[in-house]
Amino acid sequence: MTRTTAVLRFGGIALLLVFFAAGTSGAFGAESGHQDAIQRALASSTLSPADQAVVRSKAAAAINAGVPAEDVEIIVSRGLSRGADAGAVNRFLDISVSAKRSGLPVDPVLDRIEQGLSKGVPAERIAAASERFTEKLMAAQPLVDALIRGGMTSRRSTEREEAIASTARALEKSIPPEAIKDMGVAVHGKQGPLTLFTNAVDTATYFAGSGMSSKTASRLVQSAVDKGSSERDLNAMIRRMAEEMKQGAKAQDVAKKMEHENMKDERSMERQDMHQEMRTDHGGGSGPSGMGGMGGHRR
Amino acid sequence: MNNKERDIMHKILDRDAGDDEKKIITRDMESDPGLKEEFIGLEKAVRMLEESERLEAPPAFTTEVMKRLTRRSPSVLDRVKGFLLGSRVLRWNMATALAAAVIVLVTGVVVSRMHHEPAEPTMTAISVPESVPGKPEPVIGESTITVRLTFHAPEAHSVAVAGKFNKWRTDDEMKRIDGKWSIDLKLKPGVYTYSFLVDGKSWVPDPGAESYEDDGFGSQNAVLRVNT
Repeated sequence: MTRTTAVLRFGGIALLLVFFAAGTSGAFGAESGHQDAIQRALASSTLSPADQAVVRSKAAAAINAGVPAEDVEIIVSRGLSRGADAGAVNRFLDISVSAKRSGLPVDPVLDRIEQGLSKGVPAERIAAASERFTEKLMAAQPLVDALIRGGMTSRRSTEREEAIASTARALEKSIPPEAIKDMGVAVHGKQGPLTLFTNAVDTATYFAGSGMSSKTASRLVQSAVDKGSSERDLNAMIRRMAEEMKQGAKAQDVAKKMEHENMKDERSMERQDMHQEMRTDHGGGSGPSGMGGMGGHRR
Repeated sequence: MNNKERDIMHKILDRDAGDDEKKIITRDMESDPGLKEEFIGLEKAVRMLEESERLEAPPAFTTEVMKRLTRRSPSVLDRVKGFLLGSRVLRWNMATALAAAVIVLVTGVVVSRMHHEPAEPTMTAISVPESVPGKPEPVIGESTITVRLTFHAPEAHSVAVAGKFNKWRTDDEMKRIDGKWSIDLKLKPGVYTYSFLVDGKSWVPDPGAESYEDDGFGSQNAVLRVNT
């Protein structure tokens, strides 16, 4: 190796190391900031030194498992400031780590814990709700993955996680997995993207949450998708439901009205189709444009 | 001629064959004239090689031959192929190996950490139009959208907004203007659940929201859809 080659090689390596160090200092700085905040929250808490040590090690394990440091900090500091004991905080961290290790989207689980703590919900209820939700995420994951494997398209990498979270919320609202699958098939049949599926599931969940039976909710949304409704149309259905309920209508009555309208639309479309077929049968081949419908009525 | 006969013939020429093998090949040659002819030819060739004079090649023989060969300049494609696919021997020393190991380690750590530390969205200077109570108003910036949330609560002393977008922190206080509480949020496209915290104690889902969702604890949150 000549002197020039050696200088170039070591110079290049040194430069690369400098770039990496510069690029990572921000990320490391942010993370160490969160770890300091965890430390401060523990130090100012009423926990015994032994309990502090356990929470500290659980927090470190959660960060190492891939739970965002910011969320770990929020769980620890918010939990302690709301009077949660070491056992409860550790349980929240365990739930997050378990979701992460199972390959589930951890954000909705963290959202539920952080929300519960913020709203002052008792720790036991938060933990139970988060565990139940994790179970629903586990059930939702294969449903969404099957749709993606079947060719449903997604534009952003987060869309899969959003679809899993939405499906889990639908399952929480007792919407049957078969109905969710059917919605997926309907969206796929219309060559709709994953976001349309997520939107459909959210709409059904909203309807079910508004007091409609889960069966009616999923049937209504599925028929809307079958009709070719877009995400905008589904949002309009939610707006309409919200509006009518504000005026005192019952969800089940609004559903009936919507179903009736859907049926009317379907009949009207069927009539149009039949009419079109009749025109084609009578006038087929009468012109290159295919618009020879009047041929059968010519006298 | 089969392989066995060929092996025996070579053993005989190398003077390694036993008597039995010599007998076999003699018998076979009697019945196969082709075999006999080949054996005689090979015997002659071996004899000629043994009798010929052995010349030493001059020391610069290889270099001289290589010099006389016409040099064909490789095309750009060949050079790229050679660079990418040609086998080579990399010479390492401990310093290079350690530096490479450090790079690999740092990269691994960075990639795993960066995955969990999303970059802050770019804030862009945008103008926000006058508010309409109860309706979130999107104003499109470059990578984030400013949404104005308003809430009519003239009796309230303080109103904060908490939701998925701020990890349910309760310190995002809304501003009071003529009895209406208002806040501008810079959000990326997505679906967000949120609620207002009135006077630090009552959680109220936005009455002007498009839709609502169960919060998992027996109450409801407002749902905000931010589209591009």
